[in-house]
Amino acid sequence: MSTEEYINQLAGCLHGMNDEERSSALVYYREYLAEAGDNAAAAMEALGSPQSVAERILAEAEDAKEPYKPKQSVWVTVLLAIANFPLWITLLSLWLSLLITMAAILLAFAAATIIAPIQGIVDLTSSMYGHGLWSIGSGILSAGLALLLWKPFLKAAVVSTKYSFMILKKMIGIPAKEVRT
Amino acid sequence: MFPIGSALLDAMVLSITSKEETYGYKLTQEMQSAANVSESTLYPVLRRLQKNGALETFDRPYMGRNRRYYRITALGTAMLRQYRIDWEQHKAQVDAILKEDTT
Repeated sequence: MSTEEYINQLAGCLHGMNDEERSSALVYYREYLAEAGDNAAAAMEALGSPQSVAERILAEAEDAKEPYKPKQSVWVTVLLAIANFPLWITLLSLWLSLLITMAAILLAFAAATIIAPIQGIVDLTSSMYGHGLWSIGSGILSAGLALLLWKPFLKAAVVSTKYSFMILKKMIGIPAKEVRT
Repeated sequence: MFPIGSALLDAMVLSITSKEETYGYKLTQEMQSAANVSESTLYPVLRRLQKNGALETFDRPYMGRNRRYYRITALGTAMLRQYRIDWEQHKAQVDAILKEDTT
């Protein structure tokens, strides 16, 4: 194998790296083989295959890629939580009011579903036919709305909870886990 | 015979470059004469030290091409000083167990 072939193969093996790292490594090894001169064949033999040389370069680059991340102390978390108080209290109350509103709507429809027909039957037995039928009708309407709404409400509750806490964690510096929806 | 870990490699490379500016091929030859270090070990070490700011590089023309020289920085010198202290300590600890009793 010529030195040019060797370098080309090495370049191929380093394809995944960023341009700067890759060209730095190639400059080094091109020079290295040039220095070896007449002994280039022996030098390539000693270096091993371009693949194995590339593996060593990539292994080191892999280690270096992991950026140094200082661990956040509890105190920093507490301080951030206090400093971000206006933000997270707003978020939290928004989230809570959303949940309460949805729960209230569902509860109202559920109550109407049960109470309105009873009222209607009572009315019918006391010969108030118009009012009785109207009550039974609104009871059925409520049941329909409750059935229609409970699933989207549940979904909204779950999603809003998930995102609220994700944003909350971000605010106080706790790394958020990947969100899967 | 005894494997050389990355800390020791760093220390040795820093020590050689502290004596004179050198280039990859020459450095590899020097390291090989002293220790059983494979030829492809040194580039990642040099690159790491360069990125850490312990070494800096510069190109010098030689026979119609460039040689990339490595030069130790102030940070590298400080690291080397610490490595030498640590090494002495390590040596003493090993010796305490390994050395033949001469008394």
